[in-house]
Amino acid sequence: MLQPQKSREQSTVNTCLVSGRGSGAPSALERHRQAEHYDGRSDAVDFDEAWNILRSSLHEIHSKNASQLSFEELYRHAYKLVLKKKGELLYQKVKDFEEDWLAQTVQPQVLASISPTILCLETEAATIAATVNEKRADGEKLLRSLKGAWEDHNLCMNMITDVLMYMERVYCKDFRKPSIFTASMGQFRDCVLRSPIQSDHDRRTTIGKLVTAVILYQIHMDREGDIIDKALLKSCVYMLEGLFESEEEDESTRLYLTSFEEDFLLASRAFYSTEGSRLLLDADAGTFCRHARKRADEERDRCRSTLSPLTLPKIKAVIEEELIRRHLGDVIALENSGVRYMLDNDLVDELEMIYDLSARVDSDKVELRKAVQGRIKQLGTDVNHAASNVGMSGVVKQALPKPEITNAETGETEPQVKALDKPVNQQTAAAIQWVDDVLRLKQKYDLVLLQAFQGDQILQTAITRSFSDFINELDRSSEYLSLFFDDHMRKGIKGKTENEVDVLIEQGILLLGYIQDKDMFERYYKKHLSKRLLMKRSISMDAERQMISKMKLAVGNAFTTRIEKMFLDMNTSADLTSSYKQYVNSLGDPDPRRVELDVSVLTSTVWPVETLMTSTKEGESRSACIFPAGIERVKHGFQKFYLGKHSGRQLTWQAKLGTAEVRGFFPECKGQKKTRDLTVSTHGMLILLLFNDMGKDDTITCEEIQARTNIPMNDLFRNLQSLSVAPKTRILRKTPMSKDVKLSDRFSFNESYYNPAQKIKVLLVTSGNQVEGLEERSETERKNDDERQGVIDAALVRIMKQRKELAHQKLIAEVIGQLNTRFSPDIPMVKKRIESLIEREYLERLEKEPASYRYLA
Amino acid sequence: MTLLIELGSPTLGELERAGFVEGWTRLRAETIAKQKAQVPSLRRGLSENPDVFTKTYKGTFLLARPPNAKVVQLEEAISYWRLVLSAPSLQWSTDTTPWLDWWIEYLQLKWKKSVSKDMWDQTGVFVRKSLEDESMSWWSEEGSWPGVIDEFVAYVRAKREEGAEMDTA
Repeated sequence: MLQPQKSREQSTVNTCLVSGRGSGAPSALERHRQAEHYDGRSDAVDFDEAWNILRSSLHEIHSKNASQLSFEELYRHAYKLVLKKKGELLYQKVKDFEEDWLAQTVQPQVLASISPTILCLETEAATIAATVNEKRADGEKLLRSLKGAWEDHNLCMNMITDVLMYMERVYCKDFRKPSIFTASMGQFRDCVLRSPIQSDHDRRTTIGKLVTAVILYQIHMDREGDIIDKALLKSCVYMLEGLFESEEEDESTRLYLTSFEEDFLLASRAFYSTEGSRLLLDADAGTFCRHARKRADEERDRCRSTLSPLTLPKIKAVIEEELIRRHLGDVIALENSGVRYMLDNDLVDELEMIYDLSARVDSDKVELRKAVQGRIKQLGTDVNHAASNVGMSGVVKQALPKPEITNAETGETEPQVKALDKPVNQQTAAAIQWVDDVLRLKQKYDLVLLQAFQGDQILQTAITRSFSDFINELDRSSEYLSLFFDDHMRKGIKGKTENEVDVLIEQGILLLGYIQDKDMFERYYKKHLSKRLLMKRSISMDAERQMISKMKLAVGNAFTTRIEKMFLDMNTSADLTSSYKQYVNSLGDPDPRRVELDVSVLTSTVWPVETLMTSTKEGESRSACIFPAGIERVKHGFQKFYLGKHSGRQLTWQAKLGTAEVRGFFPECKGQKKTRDLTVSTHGMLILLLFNDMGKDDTITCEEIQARTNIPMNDLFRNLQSLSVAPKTRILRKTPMSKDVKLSDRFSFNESYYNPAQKIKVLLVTSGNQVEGLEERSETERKNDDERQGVIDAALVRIMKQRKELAHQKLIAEVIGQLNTRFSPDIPMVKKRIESLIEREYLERLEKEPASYRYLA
Repeated sequence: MTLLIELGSPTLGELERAGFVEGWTRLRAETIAKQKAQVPSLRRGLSENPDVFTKTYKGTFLLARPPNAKVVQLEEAISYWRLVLSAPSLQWSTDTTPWLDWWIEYLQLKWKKSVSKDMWDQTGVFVRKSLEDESMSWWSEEGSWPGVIDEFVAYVRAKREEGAEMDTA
């Protein structure tokens, strides 16, 4: 049977060669012509006869009896018919046959599998009494029967297409007809899926619609947690995917897309809409998130395993819209389980889910951002309140003559002193507590950001902004931060490893980054630092230096130059002192009672000298205190030495900041030596030295002491207090014995002073850095504002000098741009400075819009 | 006053020959009679022609300023303001707001300092703007107005609110 076909093919090729056209495979047209030629030579074939054979064979194929048939023979029949230009007739006949078959055999089969229970699925009248199981079984029955019909049809059509291959290749191609396979698929669509169902309700339901309803119901059951036959669903979906609206088989006209998907999305939308509302009522935020995420995953899996991947983005959008976007705001705001609750209870996993959901629906995460910011702001405000409440109560208690008594370190026991002592210390503690609190908050949110929010950029900026907001809301934040550093530099870092200190400094500097008024911070830092340096209270100079270098990295060179200069002064002072000592030695001064001198020469522009001298009140003379002759001699000696080195400089002696070591003789002390080494302030030394010249029981009043030493009143009170009231350092005897020092109090040397230690440190209250009182505070602010005015003037002139003419807005913007590394300038203040410059004729207004200025050289 | 400025008077009550001649020539008034006739038209110009007003307004400060001084004392400035900002000159008041009265009230209550040229000139600009739109919608904190005017705006707003409250009460 193979033989003749081959020879014919050969003859075709031969003729082709003879005709001298192309060397490749003959075109369909040529073959057609050749066929005609052949046709002329052969006997006429009876179409009906051949068709009858083919038709019965097609029937056999559909009835699954194809094994008896000879493919070769059928092919030949079809081939012959096509050759005899009966292609069109054949094509039509086959189509008619298929339509008949589908309508007469397949459709009734499928229809038969429809049971009344599922008919009601299509209408939403689910009230018909049928259990879920029945519905499922009936639904599956339909799907299964349809699946069977579809698979059979496919199989048969594949075989038939093979048989009719020649017709496909020649006839269909030439006449641009859809292949018989495609055509029959269309017939399946029309005759089976689109065939109406006869039912007692007079509805225009088709099998296709019913199938959609059944599938949707199955999916619904799946969502509710029932088990369904996913493979069955999948094959039905395959069917829908394999069918097209028209014979062109355009991708976008798949039945799946045109008739199923939309319904599916609608049903899903309805399902998730109700589910979302229900969940919001019943569940807490964590459950909601978990559920939403689970649903999203489920739908993803469903699209992969049961439906088509094409639907994935669409169903995702549905879930995001219905389940997430619509409710996310409410979920985040849920009273007892929302974001606030999660943040407060460190529910990192839940936050992570919230973040995940937010990121799905909103790249800006507005709701989440708001919630987080709100919480930070709230906590921050609480922290601020805690700090300033202590501050307020403290200020109230600070009556005007505020004798700040000794530091807590001195072990003060008298209750009255303590009561007075408390507010300031408490405030200072509150300041440090504030920084600690802020840092703790910061750490917490850093962790949340990292673990739950995946370091999201938008949230990071939002969190940073919130921190910066509430930190700057507290107008004392720069002071508090500086106090925090001070506290750690003096005590906190004792016994800590280098790494711990590192971390601590870094955290503090992080906070510094948030502070807008960096110039305020610099002011306080310098003040506190100078006390640390001069009174040698710093635990580790290395740590101090490290702090500066870190600060430099964080906020820039300009900020730290002046602070660095302070360190430089300390170093040169040390050099100076040692070279002075050498100088004195070289003079060969033999006096053994000569006082040794250790000076710190400070550059007055760099050190906050005026703040270090606050104890002189307005009106009080600033004259230097009177040194005893021995000291005065040394002072002069050094002055001569120094001016010899740097002529033209002016030295001002600041006794307030000095310390002195004095050796005292105390008859009552036990042990071999009756002497004790006392470390006192320079003022304290001056007071003690007075008693050298007095008799054993002579007394001297406070007023007299003042007259003879000229120590500023405030300092004198403080020194006397620490020398006569503080229990461990009661070197002087005070009558009457009371806590407060009055001008009329009398003092005498305490012969019976006893202290087992050889070295005794007499501590002064002021040696610690503390929160400023209101008065001091406003003073500092005023000074800072004065300095700012100068800085703004300089910036304005600098900008205008360069630009000559500039619009008002731009000028303001540039000024702010230049200055905001140091502080954020107050716009009214900038405007005032501009006005002042106009008055001083540095600038003039230009009469044009927008308002501009010109620089006058 | 306008006349004096047209004639280039350096301070109040003094005229210089050159300015006098040049000024009258510019106005094409060589005879006394013509000069007299010019006065009403100049006066009209004050309230109707913005350029004449601005020129007069600005010139007033220079006239009011004592020789070699940069500022005018507040009380003096106020009387000059009364002069140039009420009839027959431009009237600085609108239906809802007696601007001049409030301005003077504000200055006496809150300002209490002398008046610089910049403040005087800017007040002039403010006057014209406020007459164009009394709701002050053109004002903005970011604008280049001097602080004194910023505060005056706040003052006016507060006063208006007060007034509104009294109306409703």
